[in-house]
Amino acid sequence: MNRLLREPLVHFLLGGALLFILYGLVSGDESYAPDRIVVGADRVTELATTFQRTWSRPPTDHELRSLVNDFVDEEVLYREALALGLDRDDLVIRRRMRQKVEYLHSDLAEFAPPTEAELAEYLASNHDVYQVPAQVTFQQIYVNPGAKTGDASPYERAETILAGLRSGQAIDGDLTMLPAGMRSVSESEIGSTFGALFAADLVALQGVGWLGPVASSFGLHLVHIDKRLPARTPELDEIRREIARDFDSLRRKQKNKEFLNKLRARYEVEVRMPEGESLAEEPLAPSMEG
Amino acid sequence: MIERAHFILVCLTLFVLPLSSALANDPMPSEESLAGAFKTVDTFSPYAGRNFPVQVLWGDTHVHTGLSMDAGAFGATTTPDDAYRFAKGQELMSSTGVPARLSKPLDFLVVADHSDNMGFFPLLAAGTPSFLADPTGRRWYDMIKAGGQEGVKVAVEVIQRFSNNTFPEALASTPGTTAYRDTWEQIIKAAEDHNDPGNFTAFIGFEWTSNDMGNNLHRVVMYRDGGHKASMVEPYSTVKPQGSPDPTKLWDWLEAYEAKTGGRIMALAHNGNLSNGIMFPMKKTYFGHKVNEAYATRRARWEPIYEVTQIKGDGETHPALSPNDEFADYETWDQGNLDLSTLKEEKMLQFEYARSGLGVGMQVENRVGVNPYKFGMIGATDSHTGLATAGEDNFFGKHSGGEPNADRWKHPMAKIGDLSYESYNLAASGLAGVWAKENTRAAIFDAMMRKETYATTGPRMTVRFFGGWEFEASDALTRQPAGAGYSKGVPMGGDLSAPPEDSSIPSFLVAARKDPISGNLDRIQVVKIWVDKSNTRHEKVYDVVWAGDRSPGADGKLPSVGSTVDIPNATWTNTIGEPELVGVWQDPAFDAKQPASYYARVLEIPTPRWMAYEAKRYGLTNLPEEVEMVTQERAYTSPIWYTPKKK
Repeated sequence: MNRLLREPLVHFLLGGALLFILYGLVSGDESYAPDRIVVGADRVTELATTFQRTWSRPPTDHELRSLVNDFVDEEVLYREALALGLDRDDLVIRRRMRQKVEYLHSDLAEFAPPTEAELAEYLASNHDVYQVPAQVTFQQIYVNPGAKTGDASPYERAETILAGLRSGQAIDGDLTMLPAGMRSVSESEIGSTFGALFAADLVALQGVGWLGPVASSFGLHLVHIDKRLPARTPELDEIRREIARDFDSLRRKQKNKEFLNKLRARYEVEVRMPEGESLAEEPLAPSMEG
Repeated sequence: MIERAHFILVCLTLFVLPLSSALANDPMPSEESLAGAFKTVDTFSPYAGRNFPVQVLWGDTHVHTGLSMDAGAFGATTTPDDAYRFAKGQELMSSTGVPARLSKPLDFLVVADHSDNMGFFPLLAAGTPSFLADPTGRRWYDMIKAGGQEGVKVAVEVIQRFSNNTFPEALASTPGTTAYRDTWEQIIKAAEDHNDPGNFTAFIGFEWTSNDMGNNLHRVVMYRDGGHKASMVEPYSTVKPQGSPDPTKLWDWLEAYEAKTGGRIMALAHNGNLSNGIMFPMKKTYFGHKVNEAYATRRARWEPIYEVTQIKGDGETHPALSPNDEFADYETWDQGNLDLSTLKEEKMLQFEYARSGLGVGMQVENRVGVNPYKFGMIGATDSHTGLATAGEDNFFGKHSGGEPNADRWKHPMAKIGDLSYESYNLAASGLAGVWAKENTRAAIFDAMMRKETYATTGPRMTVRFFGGWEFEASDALTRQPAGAGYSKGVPMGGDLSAPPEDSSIPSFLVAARKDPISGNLDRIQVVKIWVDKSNTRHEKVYDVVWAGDRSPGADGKLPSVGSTVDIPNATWTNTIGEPELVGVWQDPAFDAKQPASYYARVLEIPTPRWMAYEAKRYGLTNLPEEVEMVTQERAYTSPIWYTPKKK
């Protein structure tokens, strides 16, 4: 007997057994004990809290039982799936996990609020994006190319009307539901109603009084520009909210890119091309960033 | 000159009147002076002093981003922030690296990501204890709570640890810090960041994606409120036990939301064509509820508008239901339900489409006293790319697997066994036009509640539709038909008042102006649905005003407007059709005892469909015969209802 107790192998066996027992005692974690699912108190609280946030009231005992049962079902199937290795080579799972990492990083990238100098600099280097466009106040008289009014072509009719307007006559033009004019509108607002080509031609008009005819997809128009306001860059205070939001968005995107590059630096990448296929040196470049 | 006279009269009246009443004991001004005092001075803007909406706002109520489980799985990497930027007209890189930009900015957008599986890191209040149990976690928590620079230090440290692979495992799977925001809060934040009252409206919303056995009962849920109220309640999902696919349970949740927050919210259903007959039930719902007064009241209250057209097919009507309507077979999806697990049977159709659904609603009303399907119409895209593209020449597909590339037309959107929803059958549709008094959440939401909206299949035509008892042909001959429309009748979405006399016949004022970048207009029609005394449904389509010199033939049908489409070059010319159409129509078969609903349908001339642009862009040849290359875009207004007075 004594000889047995002094055997190194026995010591090893006893030590190993001791370790196993110790481990079993120490690691009481629910998730990692095989064949044992422990739904912890914090998990039950979580289920109830989520229910409460949806229904504005706590769940009844029966509802809570349903929630817990469902959770257990999910845990069982989740473990079975893991055991079968179903998480590997699943496109959806891969993408989901990728998104999760990207979100984790993006979420954690909380920044100190930007300084005045940073915002001013951002506005200065992107002022063309934030330009308040030029505005125009105008009237228009419409000539319908489809109207049947004798032999004159629509263009000729328009010229006649233009001459009349210039000599001070009040002429209504053809009936239309298009507005008789617009006040303090940008080129794109004009374009929404009359079409982009008409809008571009209108703002490019030089001269005073009645001008035209200008064509649109509705027909011809005689126009009178009452007032012009040139384009301008707004002050930081006018658009502080947009600048702060866009600056933050850009910073976030840059940080995410740095993060990815840093992670990637840890890997050695080798691409093996199949027969007959080739790979360009550079990927597609976007015309604008962000 | 006349203005001056009125101005003087006004001044005199305003100044002299009080004076005279102070001096003399004569409080009653003469009628003449009053007539002058209240006449509106002709201003440059004919809209000054009017209280009705004078502009139509354009938006998409149904866009998904990478946050939606399926969109992300399909490869969408767009965020709600990206979706709003795109809607406002900025150029973006789509998820597959193709630059994208809208032809014209939208006025409003609803980012409606699926509530199921929303949330990478749901905020687990109970998760905090295990977070705090970890010493690093505790330290970070305290620093975050301290805020400011301390909080920033945590972020930096966390990122560093992450990049160096030394992030504590226990913390990675234990959300609970302020760093792990609930996805719902991220969605709310993006909407709040981009909401710009007067210029652009960003609505908070989500999609409740009820799909029991593949039968589509999806609804988009849209909030009138801002983040403060919306963040008080988690969105409702469809998987039991947390959620339910039964719409009546969704309505319970909507009610609870309004009760708790004092906010306002609505649900917009879509894709009846993929529901396999359960979208507009007559007697009993799919989940076993009776279609009784209570059901009808709730349905009508929570679902004032319906998304009638979108990428997965047009839901106005089906050729089998409307055999006499030569325009009925448009972007028709009728093979089965959403996942093609059950095939379509003809008896399902009448309970799937908007036109018959409106009729079923009136039939139900005859039985239970309330119309459950008294819905207005809008269009939306249901795009899963984050990009609200409904233009035929700018179509980015349903999901990121279908973004522009030479082969996308070949890959079915969904394929189960022998059946598939082919990509070339996706519709580059639709948009919502809303007659709102201003561009704000409240004004647009309220316009939707009163159904003053219309759907288009993509182009932005301006459409007016009014119903009344006294419209005359001369009402169409004004610059602003809306003036007569609002004063003599009700707008789209409204109810006709009681007939002034027993012999009165309703008349309707319709007007449409083309989208300047799209095709001319072919015609405006009024679709009438009515129910006779045996509670049977009927429908008829009337051509009301049309372009050109055409006359109805012997068969009563107006000849086609023709086509200028050059398919190989994907072009057309506006040498046919007209840019504006306006007219007044009186119902020739009105019976005051029969409930009826009327809506206007506006058709453009034929233009190239997105597949024609595709074929040209990518040099595609030998496309299957069934691929449609030509389309006739259209708009559907919300109906105007006539309900006979109860005896």
